[in-house]
Amino acid sequence: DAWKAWAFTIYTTLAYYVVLVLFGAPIATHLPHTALLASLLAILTVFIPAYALGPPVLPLPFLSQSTPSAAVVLNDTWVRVFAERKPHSAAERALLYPALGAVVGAWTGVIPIGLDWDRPWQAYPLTPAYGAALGYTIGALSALVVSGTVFLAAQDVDRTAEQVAVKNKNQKAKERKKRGKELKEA
Amino acid sequence: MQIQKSWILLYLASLHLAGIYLFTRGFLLSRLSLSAVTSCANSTTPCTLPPTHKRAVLLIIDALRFDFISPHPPEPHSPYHHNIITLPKELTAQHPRHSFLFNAHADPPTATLQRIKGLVTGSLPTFVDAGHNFAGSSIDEDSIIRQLRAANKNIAFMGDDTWLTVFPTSFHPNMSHDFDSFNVEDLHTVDHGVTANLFPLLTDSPHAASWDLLIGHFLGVDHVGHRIGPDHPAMKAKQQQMNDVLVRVVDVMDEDTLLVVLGDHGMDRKGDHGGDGDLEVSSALWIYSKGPALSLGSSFIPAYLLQNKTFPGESLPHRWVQQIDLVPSLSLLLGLPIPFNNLGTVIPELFWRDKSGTEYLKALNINTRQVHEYLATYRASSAGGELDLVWNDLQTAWSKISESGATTKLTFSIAYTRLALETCRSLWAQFNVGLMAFGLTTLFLSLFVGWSLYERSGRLAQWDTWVSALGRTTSLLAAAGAGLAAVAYMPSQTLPALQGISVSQYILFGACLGSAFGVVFSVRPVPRLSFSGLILVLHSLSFLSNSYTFWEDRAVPFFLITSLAPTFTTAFSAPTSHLRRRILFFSAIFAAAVRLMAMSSVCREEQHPWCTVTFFAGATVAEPPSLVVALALPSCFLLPWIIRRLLSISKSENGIAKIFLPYIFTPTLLAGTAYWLMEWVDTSSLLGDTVDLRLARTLLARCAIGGIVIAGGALWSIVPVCLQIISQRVPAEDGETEGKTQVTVLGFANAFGSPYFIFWCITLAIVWITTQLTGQLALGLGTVALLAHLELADSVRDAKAVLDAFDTNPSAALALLQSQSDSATGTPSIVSSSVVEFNEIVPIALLALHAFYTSGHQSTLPSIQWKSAFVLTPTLTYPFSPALVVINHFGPVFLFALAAPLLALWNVAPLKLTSSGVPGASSPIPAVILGAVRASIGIMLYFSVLLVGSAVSAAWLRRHLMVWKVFAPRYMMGAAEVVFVDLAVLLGVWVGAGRVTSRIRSMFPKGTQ
Repeated sequence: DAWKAWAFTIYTTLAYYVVLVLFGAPIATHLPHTALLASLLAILTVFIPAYALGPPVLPLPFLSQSTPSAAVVLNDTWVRVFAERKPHSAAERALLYPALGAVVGAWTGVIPIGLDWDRPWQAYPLTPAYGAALGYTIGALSALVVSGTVFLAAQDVDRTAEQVAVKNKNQKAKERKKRGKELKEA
Repeated sequence: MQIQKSWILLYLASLHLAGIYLFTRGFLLSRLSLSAVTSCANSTTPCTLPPTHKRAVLLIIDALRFDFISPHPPEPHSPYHHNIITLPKELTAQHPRHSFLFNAHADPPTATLQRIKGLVTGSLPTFVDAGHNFAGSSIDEDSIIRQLRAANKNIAFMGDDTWLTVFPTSFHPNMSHDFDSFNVEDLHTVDHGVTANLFPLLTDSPHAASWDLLIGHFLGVDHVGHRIGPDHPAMKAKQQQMNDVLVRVVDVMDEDTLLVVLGDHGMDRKGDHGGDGDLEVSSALWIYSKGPALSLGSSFIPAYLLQNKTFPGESLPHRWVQQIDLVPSLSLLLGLPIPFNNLGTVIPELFWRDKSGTEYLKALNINTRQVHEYLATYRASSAGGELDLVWNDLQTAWSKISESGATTKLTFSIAYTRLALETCRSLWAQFNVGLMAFGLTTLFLSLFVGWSLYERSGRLAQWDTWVSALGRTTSLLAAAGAGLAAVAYMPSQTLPALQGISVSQYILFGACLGSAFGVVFSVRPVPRLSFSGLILVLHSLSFLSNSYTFWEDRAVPFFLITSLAPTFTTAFSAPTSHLRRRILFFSAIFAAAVRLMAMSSVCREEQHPWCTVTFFAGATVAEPPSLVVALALPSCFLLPWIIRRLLSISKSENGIAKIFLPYIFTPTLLAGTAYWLMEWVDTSSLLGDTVDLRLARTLLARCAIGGIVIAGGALWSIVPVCLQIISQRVPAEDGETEGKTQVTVLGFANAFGSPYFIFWCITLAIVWITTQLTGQLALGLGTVALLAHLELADSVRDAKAVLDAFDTNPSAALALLQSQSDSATGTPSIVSSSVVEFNEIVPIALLALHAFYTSGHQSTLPSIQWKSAFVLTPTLTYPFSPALVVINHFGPVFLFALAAPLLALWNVAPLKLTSSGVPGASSPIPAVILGAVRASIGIMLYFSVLLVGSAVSAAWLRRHLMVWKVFAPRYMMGAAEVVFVDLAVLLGVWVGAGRVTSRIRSMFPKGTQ
């Protein structure tokens, strides 16, 4: 439910904060900036998956504590979708691609900070935030395109398979008839 | 595989060297120095003016920046270096017709040797000369000194001994007192020596009447700047002392003497110099005539003759001249001809003695004619072609002078001399495009050669035969290429771009071209996309932008953490919880160590104001931060403990590690740290001026270096293994007649990696000793990150091996899992058949650069830590002092490149085990050596791609405003890094891996080839 998804998002915000600092965000200054960028990334990447799939089972307070077997299944789904990046359905693709896009976008958004153009929009953490939003959008669109393509391809495969099956059936029926005739004749 | 079969590393290294040589010869500038001398004997026009002064005192206060004597220094005033040398501005205010104060532009490179040359010849020493600063070199060009000697005048000299390397025989033997100039730690000896010899010559010495020019060169201000920075009470004391000296000199000198006081260059905010920063090129110049007035005062001089400039931070502009303008001015004031190569212009204030400036016009005439003659001679010389493009402009400017009337003549004359100066400045930034193209082509080909060899070294099958065959083809092709190049030399000389390249350079290029094509075609590597390849491409492309070049120290940790991403995601899908935890744990350690290292930075000038210096306690001091001082000694114990702890994972903290780590390594680290702590105590005079720890720390450093090299080296070369063999008798079981002896070999699982790591630690300790305290912490953290990375690479390989096995053969995978869970207890783990991957090499290459930047270096000349030259000796000593500076500067890169072969050696057992745990028949040694070669080629490849990136940007942006400040230094750094990486991997493969594998082979002959 939404509360647990929020709780997980807040944990992820903390994790993102640490990751941002590891990537070089200032340790002593810009604390609210980094925190806000971390929460933006957390909301873009994990809030919806946590709401849709249920947050992964971790030994942390305020998260769901389900039965061990259910927990294994849930965590395996998270690992498969996000760590191994192997979504199995259109829904999972719609969760993974925007999240991936947001992270890659934020990473790319770091690059313009270094230029000496002295523009106000270059200041940290604006560009990673723009990058994350842009990446999220591109990710969502590409999830749509990929899932649509897969859907159409699957339909095509199904139809072909159907046709093949019909053909086979007809042929088999013919053979059976033939054989029946032969038996009769015999 | 035999270790000798790795000659391809040597081949690749020589390809790099050839490329660097060719490109550097085309890129770094040189200037033809003409040896002609101005002479009055056979000239029809006057060659000088009647002297206003019989003699002159030239006092050089090294690194006297303009604001140190400025009448209106920047706000807020520094209490340590502003308004302390007050005599010049007081006298200028009182006697505006006798005393003149200028902000003088010192041409870069702002190093003392180059400035001395400029100050006596009036010419522009080139960038390449900067390299000669340690060795000095005498000049054969015309100079004030030579003109004085030609006029049979005597020169007294005291101070910086750099002067004697430039003019070994020109000074009067009884009046020459030189003092060691590179002993930066000594703040007072030179100054006291100058003072002690200066005043007798001005007053009552027997030689007091026999000199005509007296040169005094004080070094204290410069040394205080280098050692402690300009914002320190020591600077105040030093400047106070200088002011007192000036007051006394003005007091005792007679009216026929001209006084010139100047700084040969300025200093940057931290007190260093060498580059072309505004603070470094703004030097002070004060000219004072006690007797006759030199001019009517500047209010009578037309304003268009007087250029003004605002010193950074000051509110008022001040009179601004070129430092070399002193040369023609001083020559004419003393009645000497102007030196032949002079490009300076006489200073109006010193000659404007009537309302129309008649005297100045005369002086300027002589000056202009001299410059014209110089340019004409240069034009006629072998290098005259350089002037082709600008000759018409110069001729036009020259003809304007003779055509013009008296009123405009001044303007045109000054315009001409200034045009000549500007022309020569850009001229001696002249590149040989042909050679640069040769060099770049060779470097590009070396990339493809490295890539091909890297690809081929992933396959062990028939490596030896392939390498031998390759040797024959490449040498044949090299010879063919050289021959073709020699033949092509004559016809190609018609192309203007290829002129100025010698036959031997052609032959070298041809040989490189031929052999490189041979290698590339015998492998034909196929491009593949990879994650770490993206980092490499972005990193080398970043050199095309000056912003990214000077923010490289921030980009490197960013890339480093990025390079961790694939590993980190593998952690979640790892097959066992043991591996999962291991990967997560070591990822966290690696990332934390990298981030902590990144907290240390010496900012380069361009990063200001978005960068705070954390390597030192502040931007203008050279002391370590107090937190670092507190952590320095504990880190010497912590680092060996961490190394032991990590080695104990594979039970390989035994063998020599047991002796080496506690009894050799730790004491060496301690001594190295204690040395720099004592240096800090000495520098900041914590114990007062009475205590001098110099002798103690010299001895300490010598013992440390001697100890680690002799004891560590000997121990390692005798027993390069970290194994402990325990035999115990197992009592007889039922049905057996006699008991068995069970032999346990501890450290078996990491039999190659741990002894190599001990070898690496010896190098680490040597670099540690030459590194300042903050840098030592960075090196320690880098070591932790390196070990974490090795464990990570191993864990990821294990995880992948198990996952692959699950796909193909589930039962074998279970066996693998079994053996891996055993590996936690130290018994042999699997020998993974996987090869070293580029993903694993990239973090080590980046770690090398990260360690370089965080140990207080930047890709700029002023960031060289000259202090390290005096670790072993209190004074400059060859060859130790330059060697120590090199170790300090390139040690971090060398060190981590030396660690690359560890990727192939780490956690590999000396015998392959079959699934039942019995030693198998095949030996892993050939694979291990080939892996080490592959890892070495990988890291060479990374650095040579960076070199190509920086060389391309330097070549392409060679007319860029910042080429000498940003791109050229980065190219030189890149070239040096490639050389040191090549040296490191050769040492690592031939000595390190070679010794370890041969020893293991002799210990475990069973199953080895």
